[in-house]
Amino acid sequence: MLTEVRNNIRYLFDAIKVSIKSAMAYKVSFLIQTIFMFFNNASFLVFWLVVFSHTGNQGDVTFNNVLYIWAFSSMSYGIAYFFFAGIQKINEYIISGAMDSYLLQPKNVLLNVATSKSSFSACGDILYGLVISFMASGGDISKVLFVIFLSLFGSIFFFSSEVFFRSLAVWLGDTNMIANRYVEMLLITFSTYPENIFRIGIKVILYTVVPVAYLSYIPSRLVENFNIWLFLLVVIVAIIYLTISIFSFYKALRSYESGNSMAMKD
Amino acid sequence: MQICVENLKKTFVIKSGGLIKAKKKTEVKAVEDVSFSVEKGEIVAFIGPNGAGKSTTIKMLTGIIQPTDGKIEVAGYNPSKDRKKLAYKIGCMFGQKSQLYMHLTVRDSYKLLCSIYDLDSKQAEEKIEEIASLFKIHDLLDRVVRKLSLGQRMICEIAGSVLHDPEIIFLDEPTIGLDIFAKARIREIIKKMNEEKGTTIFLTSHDIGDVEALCNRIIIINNGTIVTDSTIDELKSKYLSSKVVKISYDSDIVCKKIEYNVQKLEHNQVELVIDTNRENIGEALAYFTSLGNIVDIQISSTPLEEVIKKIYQERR
Repeated sequence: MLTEVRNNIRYLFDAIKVSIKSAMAYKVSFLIQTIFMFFNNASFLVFWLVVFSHTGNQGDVTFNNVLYIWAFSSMSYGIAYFFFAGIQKINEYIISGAMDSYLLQPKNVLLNVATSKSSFSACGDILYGLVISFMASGGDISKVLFVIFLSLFGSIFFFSSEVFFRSLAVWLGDTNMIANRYVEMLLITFSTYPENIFRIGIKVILYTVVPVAYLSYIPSRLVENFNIWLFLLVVIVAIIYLTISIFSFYKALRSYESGNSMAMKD
Repeated sequence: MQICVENLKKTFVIKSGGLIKAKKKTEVKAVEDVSFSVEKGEIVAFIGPNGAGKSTTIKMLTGIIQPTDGKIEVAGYNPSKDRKKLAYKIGCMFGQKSQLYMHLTVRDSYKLLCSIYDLDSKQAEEKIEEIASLFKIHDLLDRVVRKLSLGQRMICEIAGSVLHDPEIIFLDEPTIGLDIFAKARIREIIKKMNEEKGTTIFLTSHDIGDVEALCNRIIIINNGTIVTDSTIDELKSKYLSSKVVKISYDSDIVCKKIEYNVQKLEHNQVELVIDTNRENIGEALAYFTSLGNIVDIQISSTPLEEVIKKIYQERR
C-alpha cells in the first residue's frame, strides 16, 4: 500500500516534469506567452487603478481587495493549468479515442490525463498572482505564502469544472464550448470583480453553481481576517466539487466507446 | 492459458434523430458470441475485414472498453475489474495511436513509461539500455519523437510497449504504412521477443505478410463472429489444395483431354488449376509434358491473401 502511494507520487512528479519539459520544448514561445499573459492580466489592474483614482474606495471595496481577488483568481487558474492542463483535453480524448493510451497504463486515469499537458501561459498567471499578492500584502511573505496555499484549493474549482464539463462529452458529444464558456465567462470573469458589486440573486449563484466565492472572495477575506470556519467551508466545498467531477469522469469512462482515429501525444 | 474468452459480446447504441424529434436508438452488435483461448508463447493472428470486430475485441481484452456480456480472462485477470493490475502484465502497441511524446526525445518518453510501471531511475536506465540493445535503437534514443520516420517511430513504439516485460503483447496493425524494410525489421523484432522471452503475441493486421511471417495460428473474425480458428498449416491444407500450373512450349500445342481444368490455352502456353485432393499432380504433369517441348514451367499455390479473401466472402 505504502509502496503504491510512493510510486504514484513519484509518477505524478515525473509526469508533471515531463509535461512541463514538453511545453518548454519551444522556449521562445513559452517565454513570450508567459510575458504576454502577465501583461494581459496587468492591463486590467490599470483599469481598476483608474476607477479608484477617480472614485476612491467604494464602500468596503478597496483597491487592495481587488488586488487580492485578482491574485487568487490568476494564481488558482495558473496552478490548475500549469500542472494539469491535460484536463482541457478530456473531451477531445473521449471523442477521438485517445483515452485508450491512458486506460492501458497502470495508473489513475484522471491524474494521468491531467498531468499529460502543461499550459505555457499559465506560468504567467502564477507569476502575476505572486507579484500582486506581494503588492497587496505590502511585502508580507507569510501572507503571500497563505495566498499560495489557499490558491491550491481555488485551483480545485478550475480543475473540477473542466473535468465535469469535458467528461460529459461521452453523452453530449463535444463539450469544449460549454467548458470554455463556463470557465472563461463565469469562473474567471466573476472571480475578478469584487463580490459587493453583485446583487443577492447573482451572489446566490456565485456561492453555489459557479463557485467563485470559494476561489476568490472568501480566500481574499481570509488573508486579512482568518476565520477557521470560513476556511473549513472552502475546504469542504472544494472537496465536494472535486468528488462530483471525479465521479462524473469515471462514470463517463464506463460509457467510453473508444475510436479509431489517428492520435499522437504532444 | 494466457487469454480465455467465452461468449463475448459487445453492443453499441447508435443514436440518431434531429434536435426536436426524440432520438432513435439503434443497437449495433460489434462482437457477437466470440470464444477462444490463447496459450502462453503463442503468436496468434486475429484478422478480419474492416469493421469485423477486431479492434473492439482487443479493446475489451485490454480493459479499454467494457463488454456487454461474456467472460474474459487475460493473464489471470478480468480486464473490466482489474485494469491496473492487468496493465502490468500486458503491452500494447496500436499502430494508429502513439504512447510517445511528440516533443520529447525517445529516452525521455521511455523514462516516463518506466515511471508509469514503477521502475526507479536506476532500473529505468538499465531497462532502456537493455531494450535499446534488443531493438538496436541506440541511435534513436536521444532523438525527438516528431523527427523520427514512421518506421523508426513504430520500432520505438514497440520497444516502449515492452519496457515493463509484459507477458502478452497486443499489436494492432504494427506495420501499417511501413515500407518493406521497416516491415521486415518489425517482424524480426516481434519474432525475437517471442523466442527470447516467450512473450505471447496477439496481432491484428491487414498485411497477410505479417501473418505468414509471424503467426502459427490464425483466428478470422467477420461480422462480429469467429469464422475460422486454425493453425496456418491447417488453413493452407484446407484451402490451398489448388495448384496453378503455367507451362510454355517451344511451339503451338493441342490439348485434347477435357478432364483437366484448363483456364487458358493460347498457342504455346497453357494455364491449368489442379486440385491435389482430386487429381494426381504427377499424372497431370506427365500428360502436359507429352504435348511438346517445355521451355518454362511455374507451379504456385493460391496466395494466403486470396484464401482469406475467399473466407471473408464465403461467410459474408
